[in-house]
Amino acid sequence: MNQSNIPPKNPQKIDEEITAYLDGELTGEALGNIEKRLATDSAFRSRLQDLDRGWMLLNELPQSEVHQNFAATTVEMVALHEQRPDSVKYGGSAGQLIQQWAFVGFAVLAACLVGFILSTAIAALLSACGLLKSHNDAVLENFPILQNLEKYKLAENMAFVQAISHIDHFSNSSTDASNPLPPYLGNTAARKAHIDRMPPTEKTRLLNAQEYFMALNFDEQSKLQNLHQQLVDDPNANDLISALEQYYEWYKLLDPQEHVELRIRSRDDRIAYVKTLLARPQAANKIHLTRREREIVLDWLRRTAVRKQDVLLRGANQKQQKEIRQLTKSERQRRLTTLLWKQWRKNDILQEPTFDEQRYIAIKERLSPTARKQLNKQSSVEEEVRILLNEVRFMTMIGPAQKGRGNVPGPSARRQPSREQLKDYFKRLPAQKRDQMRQLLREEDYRELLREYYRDLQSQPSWKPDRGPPGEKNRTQRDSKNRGPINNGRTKKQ
Amino acid sequence: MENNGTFMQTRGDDLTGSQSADSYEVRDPDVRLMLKVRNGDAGAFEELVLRYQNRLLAVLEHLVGKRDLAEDLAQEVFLRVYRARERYTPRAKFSTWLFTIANNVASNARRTLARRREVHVESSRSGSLSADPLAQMALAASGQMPNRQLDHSETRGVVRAAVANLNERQRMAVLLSKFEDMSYADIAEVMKLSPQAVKSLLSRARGSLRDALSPYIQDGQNPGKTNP
Repeated sequence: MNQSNIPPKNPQKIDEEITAYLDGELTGEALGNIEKRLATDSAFRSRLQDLDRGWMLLNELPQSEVHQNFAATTVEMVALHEQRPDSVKYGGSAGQLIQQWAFVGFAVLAACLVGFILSTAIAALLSACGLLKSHNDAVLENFPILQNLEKYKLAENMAFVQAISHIDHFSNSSTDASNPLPPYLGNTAARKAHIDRMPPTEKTRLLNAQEYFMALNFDEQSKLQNLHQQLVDDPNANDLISALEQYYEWYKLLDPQEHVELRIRSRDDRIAYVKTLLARPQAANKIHLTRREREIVLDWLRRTAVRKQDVLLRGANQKQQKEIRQLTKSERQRRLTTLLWKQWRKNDILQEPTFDEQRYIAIKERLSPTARKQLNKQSSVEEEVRILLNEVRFMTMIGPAQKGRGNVPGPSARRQPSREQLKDYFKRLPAQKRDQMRQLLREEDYRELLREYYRDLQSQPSWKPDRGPPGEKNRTQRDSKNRGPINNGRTKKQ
Repeated sequence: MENNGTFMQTRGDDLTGSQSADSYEVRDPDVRLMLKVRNGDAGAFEELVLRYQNRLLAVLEHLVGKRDLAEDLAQEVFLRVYRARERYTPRAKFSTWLFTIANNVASNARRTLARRREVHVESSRSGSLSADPLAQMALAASGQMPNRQLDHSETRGVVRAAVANLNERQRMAVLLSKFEDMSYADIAEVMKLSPQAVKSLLSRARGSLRDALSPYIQDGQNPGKTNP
């Protein structure tokens, strides 16, 4: 490269100017000067190309992508860290931590080995003398606490339970009389009989709780035991326990970040925060169904769809009818369920010949008291059913076999629309919105458009899982494999 | 003075000091999201993680040279973001703030690694490249066979090595400029430098990249362009 035309004095400054020019950092006179020189000085041009070629090769670097669960594990990690304000601070190096923990682990392992040998010997001795309590005895003794371990951990002390019992949301008399309190006031024989009747999964849960409880230090164990004792001794025991249970059910509805917020606050602060959360307008329409409860609702839909398939198919066009009849039994069941879901979403449910209110009431009875309470807050049965339909909207399409996808997907499960789809969507936006987008920072406009797209997709009351991009009313129909909320071009005109 | 004067006309100028918190709130949706996190909006934090996870990982991976460590550090960055939520005031674009934290976290990690003599990332080297793997690859790939075409993965390895060969500050500036499309003013804020220093840093980085990659740029042909 001939550099003779580049002034030998301060070539670094020249490189800097070229770099700033290539990075789009120059304006006005500086930009004019560079462009003038580029037009006349071949060596200068050559230098610019030289510097730019290496830079362009950076495009070859691979795009890093985090693993699928990164966001979820990050939020969880943050929640865990926030729960442990006194936890060991991250030292900035995973390697260092690993080394430290390896050392600690080795020491613990050695101590465990010695401890195991000693404890085996002592246990054998005590057992021989009849002094050692068996594992089952310990479970029976701690049974009332183990049954309520999660709730007690959440409450921490009696003052908190009393405070929440004074909050209307937890103190009303909606406690279901048909759902008596667990039998932890019974004697040992009653407890044993109750445990014997438990299904294996419940027994496993109980044993896990026992292991957790035994691993706590003495003070923590005492705290939980005291709380239990104070609760059952209180003249308003039933009200307090009911309030705690309702608080626990409500707590499960919250998001991880709200859990964090609650856990890190002092008691008074926490009560204030609980009230703040309760005051939020959206809390009234929020419902939390467990996987089991979702299955109950889905099963109801599925059975109804199969039972009323003749009625359902009458509402479909001939092509759909033919398609559905040719499907395998399980696939037909799934399609019918989807069809039912759509019809209920679209029409006045109470007027639908496929809807049976008595059956719905029976299904509702099988849900948890908290879920029922949330449903009872709705203005009509129709609203209640709509909320339940919304809860199982993806399950109706994918069926129960595809575990892990039954819940309503979060942002991470969204399918990314193509650039073309976004472009189309942009064109359909109101002019004012488009202008706002154009005013955004260069690197922001695409992301903001994407956000707007998702917001639009989810905010429309007539949103259906099989529709195409927002704004494309009734334009698309998804084939049976295309299950995401966004149609990626595999569409046909209806 | 001349250079400063020139620089102050740059596109990053409108984002420096004079802007109020309100203007960032209006112009940067991620700032609005962070303000929601500050106000206790539960989903906003996850949304921010989702938006920035890959971008952050890309920068951190090149900074520390190890994927696993980069993921740990990315989580550390998000943890710091969350912990700082209550005192968050929008004084810059959200991405600028985030990458400032990332820069600090990566610097700490590198220091710790260096102390332990686990040098995952080569420190800055000037002068001859003959002793490093990049130079060896350069010789093997093109010096002895000047006309051969590089395949995609080979090019990628060479470019990665060239980036790793930059010193830490150059590398950070290059990553922010190239992949985050940040202005000099923003990069300066992230790295706690003056914009003029960023300009010099990027200029030297471009020079280093050109030197390191020149064996691959044959007769003006950019393998990156022939095999996009």
